Amino acid sequence: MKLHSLSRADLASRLEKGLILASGPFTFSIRGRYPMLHDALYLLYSDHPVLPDDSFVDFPVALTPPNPLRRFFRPQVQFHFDQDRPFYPLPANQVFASFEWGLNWVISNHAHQFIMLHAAVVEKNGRALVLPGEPGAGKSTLCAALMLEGWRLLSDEITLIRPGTREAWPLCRPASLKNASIELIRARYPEAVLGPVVDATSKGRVTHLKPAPDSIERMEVPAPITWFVFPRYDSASETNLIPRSRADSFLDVARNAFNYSHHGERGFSTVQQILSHAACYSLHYSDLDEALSVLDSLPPPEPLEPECLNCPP
Amino acid sequence: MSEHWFIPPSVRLQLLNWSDDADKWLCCNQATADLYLISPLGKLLLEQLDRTPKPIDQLYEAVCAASGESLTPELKKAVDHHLHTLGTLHLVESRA
Repeated sequence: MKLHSLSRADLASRLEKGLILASGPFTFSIRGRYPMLHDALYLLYSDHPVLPDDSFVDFPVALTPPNPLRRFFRPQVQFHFDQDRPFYPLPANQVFASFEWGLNWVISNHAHQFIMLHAAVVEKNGRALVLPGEPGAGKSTLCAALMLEGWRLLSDEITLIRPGTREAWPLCRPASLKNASIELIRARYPEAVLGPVVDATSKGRVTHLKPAPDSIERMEVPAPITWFVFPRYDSASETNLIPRSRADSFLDVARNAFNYSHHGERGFSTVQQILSHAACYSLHYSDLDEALSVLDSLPPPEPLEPECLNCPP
Repeated sequence: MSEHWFIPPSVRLQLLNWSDDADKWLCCNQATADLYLISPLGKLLLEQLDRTPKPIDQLYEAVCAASGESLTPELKKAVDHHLHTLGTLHLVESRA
């Protein structure tokens, strides 16, 4: 059953006791009475599967007022994970952003069955493109635009890799957009489904973009990682795709991972295998059209096994 | 007494090189999952080291033999510099 098949009353009722939603390999139980949360879930998760009440839950989360007074006086929202409250309360109008940021935290701190990279990942023609980057590098904007140009969204924030494989697994949640990229995406893609825009958050002006139907439909289908592109938005820059060495890229992939060191030797051999079959680039850009055109014509890489000293057979 | 250098027991090394970038070897300490980029000379030097402390003079000669270069003050200086760096990264230790 998809979320959109629930009536508003049914959705509200389930959110009282715990709406169980599947996204990629995870199930979430979500509780919260905020109408803004209900609206945003209805809009941005409408095509996600809702599971029966007795389903196994990976991550139980709730959004509640931090105390009864905060329901009425300068309303606030507190994110809960199980019995934990990992963040300070936020203004209640940030309830959906708090939910999304909370899920990012919950996954990146607990899903250690995966190697997790702080990177967007999209797929086309069976090949996954990973876009690692610091905040402000432009990866979310690129990721949103690529999805709206026909690439499949796996994740805009966390690349999930099963150790011992070269595949990225979809997470398939709404993509975060911030500040100038909101108007950019809205102007270029009037058909894009955007959630409520919230001003003055810790990240500035934020909203979320609904994944395309195909991305949700195929959210259990992984894709082999074929390219790493490290983007850098610079308003004064010409579009420039520069090949990077695998050794440098290895360091940056490890640096951008949430839990690389947690996996030790297996993490090393997994990233080694992925990079041996992938091509790595830096992309400097200011013009989104040119950047999209460059990414759309990336050549398939030639696999290159490294010389390895002291590696196990 | 001269310095003796060795790879500590806590360090388990793997070294990778992709031929499209011959100047960089990726060095991983499997025990900690820490990663370092080293030069070909650093790689040669690590290859000459083992768990048994080795006198610095023997190390200079071994690196020379492995690299095919002659033993010059510049080469000694380069080896000293690499040993210092690898020591800072906790990949090698010295003993008087």
